[in-house]
Amino acid sequence: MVSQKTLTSGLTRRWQKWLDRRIPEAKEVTLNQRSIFIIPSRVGWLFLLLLILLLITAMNYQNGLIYGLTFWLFSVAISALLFTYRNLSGLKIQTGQHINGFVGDHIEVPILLSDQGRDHQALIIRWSNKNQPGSNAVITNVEMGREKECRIPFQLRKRGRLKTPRLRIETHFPFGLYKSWTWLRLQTPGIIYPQAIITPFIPSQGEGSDLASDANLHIGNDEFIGLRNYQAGDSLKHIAWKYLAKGKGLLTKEYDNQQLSLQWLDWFSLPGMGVEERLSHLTGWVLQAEKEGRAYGIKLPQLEIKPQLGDVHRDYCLKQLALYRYEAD
Amino acid sequence: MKLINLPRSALIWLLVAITSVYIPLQMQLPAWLSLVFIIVVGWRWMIHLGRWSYPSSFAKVFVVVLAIVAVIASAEGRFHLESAASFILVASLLKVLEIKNQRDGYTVIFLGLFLLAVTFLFEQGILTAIYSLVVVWVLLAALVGLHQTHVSGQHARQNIKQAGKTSGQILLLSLPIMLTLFFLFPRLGPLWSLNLQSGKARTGLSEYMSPGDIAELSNSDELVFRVEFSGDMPTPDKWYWRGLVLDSYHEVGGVSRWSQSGIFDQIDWYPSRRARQESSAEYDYTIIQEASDNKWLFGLRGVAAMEVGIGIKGNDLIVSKTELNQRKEYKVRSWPEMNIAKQGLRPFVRQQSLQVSKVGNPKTRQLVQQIVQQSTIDQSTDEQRMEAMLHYFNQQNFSYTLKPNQMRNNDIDKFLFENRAGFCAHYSSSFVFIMRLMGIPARVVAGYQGGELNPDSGHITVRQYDAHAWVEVWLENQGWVSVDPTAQVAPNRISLGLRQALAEGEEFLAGNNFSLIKLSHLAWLNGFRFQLDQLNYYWHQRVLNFNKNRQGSLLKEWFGNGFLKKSLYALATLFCLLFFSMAIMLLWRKPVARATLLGRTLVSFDKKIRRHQMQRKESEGLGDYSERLQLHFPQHALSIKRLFDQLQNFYFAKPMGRQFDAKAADEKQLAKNLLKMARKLSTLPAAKTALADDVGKTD
Repeated sequence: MVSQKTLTSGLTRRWQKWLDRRIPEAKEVTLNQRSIFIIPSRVGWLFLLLLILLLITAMNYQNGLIYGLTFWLFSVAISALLFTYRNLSGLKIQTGQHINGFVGDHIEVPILLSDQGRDHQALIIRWSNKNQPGSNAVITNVEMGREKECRIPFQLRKRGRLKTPRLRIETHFPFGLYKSWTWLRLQTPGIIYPQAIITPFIPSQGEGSDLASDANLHIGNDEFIGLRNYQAGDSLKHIAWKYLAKGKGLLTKEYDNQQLSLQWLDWFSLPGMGVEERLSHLTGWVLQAEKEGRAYGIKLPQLEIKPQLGDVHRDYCLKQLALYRYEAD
Repeated sequence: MKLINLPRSALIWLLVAITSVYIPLQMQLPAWLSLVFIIVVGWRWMIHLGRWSYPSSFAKVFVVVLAIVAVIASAEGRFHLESAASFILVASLLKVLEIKNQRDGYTVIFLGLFLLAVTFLFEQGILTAIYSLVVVWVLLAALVGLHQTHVSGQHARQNIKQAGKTSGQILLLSLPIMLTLFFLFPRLGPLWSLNLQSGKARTGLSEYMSPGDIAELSNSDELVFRVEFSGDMPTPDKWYWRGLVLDSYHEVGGVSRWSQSGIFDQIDWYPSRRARQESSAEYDYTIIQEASDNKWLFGLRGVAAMEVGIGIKGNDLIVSKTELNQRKEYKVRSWPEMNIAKQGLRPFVRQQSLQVSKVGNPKTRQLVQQIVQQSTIDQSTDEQRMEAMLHYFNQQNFSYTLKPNQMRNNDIDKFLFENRAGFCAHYSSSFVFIMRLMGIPARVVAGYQGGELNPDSGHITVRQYDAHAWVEVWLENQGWVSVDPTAQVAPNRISLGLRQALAEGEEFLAGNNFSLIKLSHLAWLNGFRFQLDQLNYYWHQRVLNFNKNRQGSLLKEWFGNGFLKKSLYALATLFCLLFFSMAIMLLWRKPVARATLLGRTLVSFDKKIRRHQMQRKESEGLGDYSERLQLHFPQHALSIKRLFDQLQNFYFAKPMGRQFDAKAADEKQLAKNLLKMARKLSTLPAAKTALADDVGKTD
């Protein structure tokens, strides 16, 4: 016996599989007959009802003009099918920009719409996922030969690689008699970091302190001693912006080689917490340490990141936290 | 469903649309609706401008109730076409007042489309048709307006234009499919015959005639029917279109009143068992009769029904099986010279044709007695007595007028001996009265006489002011004979029409100030009127009357036997063909412009020297690329420089003054040189990658 639920979920899965085959994931899609769906809308059915009413009137009164009107409106409805379809056909949709953010952030996913061949009117763009803020559909026109950037509001929900739901682009233009739409699986490269929970640092346990003395780091923050060439990994705070502005290249200010305060951010110092909670705390610490200018390293089971400071280091750490034991669905 | 608020452009289109729908209807509907209309449209515009607000729900209920009461009140307790139309109109107007979002817009537009169809129930002339083209365009533009993106300011104007353009484009593109459907879609008869009819009393002949009645019709230039003869046409003085035979006499309030007796109510439907066969002159003609809400049809004397649904009555009249609620086209055949009831009258017909009141009109009775008593030898037959009576009208200073004095009590006496001025109804009425007193069977015939011949198309247009009454008298050995006493008084009425017959100072079409016919003395205007009439005639004949029968004969002509099946195949085929050609037209995309020869050569140049990793970067100018190549291949720097300078010259040289051919030749030469260079460079050993990167970076 197959229960209703498994049956419907099975159907949904098959439907999704079919859809994935039909409109595969891509960075850039040009809409064609494979990706465009079209059906009469509710207004379209009402219009048909009106036509039937008119036809009956024409027959009963034997009225040539009403016949003419009925046939004209009918053929208009037929043409409208092509016009509605045409309003999507040939539209090119591109993504590509990296989007990083934290779980819970409301971001906007930029999408580029363009067509060299024709105008497109009143496109209604929103996520097909009902959980996403659907009322924030974006309605836009695309002019021939001009790229149009649309920012679709999106809420980040789950850490890991950014995977947006199918994007629904819909149109009712010109008469609203038909609903034409497409579901696009767009590649939106990006990392979603765990939600940051800001709490005081908890000192690392065990061998952590030994490691700290071994670290032998040469990143100071006290007394300015000179300039050196920028190296990847240097903190943005230490860049000599004034020199850069004068066009003398990217230089980093060097400070007195003093033992800096060092912080190990340790997975094991957060006992009794779930994976996500621990990651959230670690994320909070990373941000905090970076803000305070302390060098920090991360200890995760089977992964250790050496203490460093700077935007590149921070992004690397955040990415590791985001992708820790991450499984894509 | 999202509720999108209406953009300004959509609202403007909607208000224009509802106005254009209302204008032709306003002539048919009660006048107070105009006031409601102006208030509603004005109010909605003020709401848009932000000066007034939407009506409160209490106000709305109040207005709805008020409107319903008003519609019911003006319908006067009867439910007819006008009240139904008023109802729909009021509903759509109230919807206009509260248009807030897309859905309200749909309601208004769909109601508007239906109201347009209702307009066609009242009026179908060619001008109406042309006007409705505009209305459909505006309604669909409003529909487009509902689906446009919100914009403001300058763009709103652009939106308005765009909506109009889209609507027009789609309407034009849809024409082929529409025409295919119009001709090939199987036309059916009415599904049910119970239809809502116009509540307006139609002008036209009525089943009763009192003297003075027909005079009212003479103020109307409304179309009654059009006639087209196939082949010979009788002379205009024979154009007596018989509609009713009034053979029953009564006096109502001292005024004579003629009506149909009902003795001829048995109808011989087509195809008749007693088909008429005549040797005298035969005329075939087609009549397109406007809706009259009556069953009687028109024809010349000696008439025969020629199609199903039409029958002939014993008094030589044709009738339709159903009331003429719509325009009807029918074929008729006539032998105007034929003898009718020559061999004698049946007793009840004779009795009915002699029926007259026993008392009243004493002076007339006296006159008749005089004539009968004084009858000399040449007045001994019925025909001679009749001639004498016609002579009497001719000699006794009678005159013809549209405005005779009111005559009450013994009206025939008053007419014959006091006023001596009257209209055709007076003459025919008194003539039949006298004939009957003399013992000669006689009856009044009501119908139309004459009509206007359109010189361009050759059809005859008969209007209400052509209404006429004349007399038929039964004579031994001749049967029923048509006699027109009015002709004795006003011969112009018969030969030239009403206008010429009217006395000096009497107004033709009084109170009908906008009639073009009144201005027919202006030659150019008259020509225009004839052309419009002709156009309308063809419109009615070819387009509006394209019904089941006509479609059948047309399809038979096209497809031969089994045309119904074949025509359906043709319909399907044509439909698909049109749809696909439309699809190709709409969805065809210009192929992306092919790269120029040089562009292609540069790409293959890149490919050939791939080993050196010296591809031209995106958006890298030719000059920069040249420098980079020179640095990378110092041994060829000079020739590279020369080649790329030539390339640049080619691209940036002003095309003016240079021959097109010369330029093409240059291009070929350059491409050749480029390839040569590529081959040369590709044979060089590849430099270290790092170096290549370095050079790239310094750029």
